[in-house]
Amino acid sequence: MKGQFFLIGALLIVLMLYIGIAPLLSPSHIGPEIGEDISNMFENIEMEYPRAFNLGLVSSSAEQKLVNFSSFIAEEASERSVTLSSLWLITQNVSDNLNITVGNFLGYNTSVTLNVSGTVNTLYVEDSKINSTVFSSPPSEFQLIVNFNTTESNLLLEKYKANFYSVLEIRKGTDKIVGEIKA
Amino acid sequence: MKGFWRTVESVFAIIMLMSFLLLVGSTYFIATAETDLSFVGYEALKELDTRGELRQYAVTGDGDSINSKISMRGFNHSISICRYGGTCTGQYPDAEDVIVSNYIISGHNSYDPLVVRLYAWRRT
Repeated sequence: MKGQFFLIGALLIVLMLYIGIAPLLSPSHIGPEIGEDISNMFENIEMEYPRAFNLGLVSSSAEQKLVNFSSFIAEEASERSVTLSSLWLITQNVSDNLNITVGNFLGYNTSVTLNVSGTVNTLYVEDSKINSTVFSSPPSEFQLIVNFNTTESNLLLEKYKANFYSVLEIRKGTDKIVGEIKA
Repeated sequence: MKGFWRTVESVFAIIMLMSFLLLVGSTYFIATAETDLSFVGYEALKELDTRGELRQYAVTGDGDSINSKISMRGFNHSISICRYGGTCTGQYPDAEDVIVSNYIISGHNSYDPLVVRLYAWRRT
């Protein structure tokens, strides 16, 4: 009779282990880890946006190259069932004034308030479009406060250097990564 | 005789436990390994980029040269290069359980956006 206890005991252990391990073996758990997938994509874009900006500067069309690149990565993200939205701005010195161009790829029209060392300009930017404004003779090192929706960023930038700044959001299912890119 | 049957039943109990643990273990670890493979592929492409051995081949559509620089033990792999609009060089492999790793590039010496896709599948 004692030997059968071993068998019954083994069956009970197997049952308990199965109940304990079953959630780990469910398809949602053993499938591709979504968080890791968008994490790679975020890192990749974080490195590549500034490169696209620099390559655009080389061909004297940074705005157009960034518009193209933003559409390109949005299309690539959509192929992977990922939603990507970004808002970026570039600052360039033009005849001692400061030109700021904002690119809106958030998926909707938005207003962006720019405060350059106390001077405030508001730009309305349609979705997938750019809009620009000029600030007269700011100091060589200036503070830029960017406001849109509920986001506010405070940047300290140099006038004689071309600057790139972006807020990027990547979503897949319930996973979301939001971050800033500065170059 | 009683002792003999006890031993047989104990052995059956041990075999039952071991079989269950092996079955569960192999299912879990194979699945985890395949999940990690996509990350390994991305890291391999990033490493090539860091060494300056990716972009020059990618912009000229030379997927074979990129593929020859990648090593993934126990897996076959191939490269496809896709441009804006979905035009791709290289083909999706005719294999089962193919894992894809993607790497976005904005250009090399000039702006030329593309995606390098690394396909990996288990050697049979």
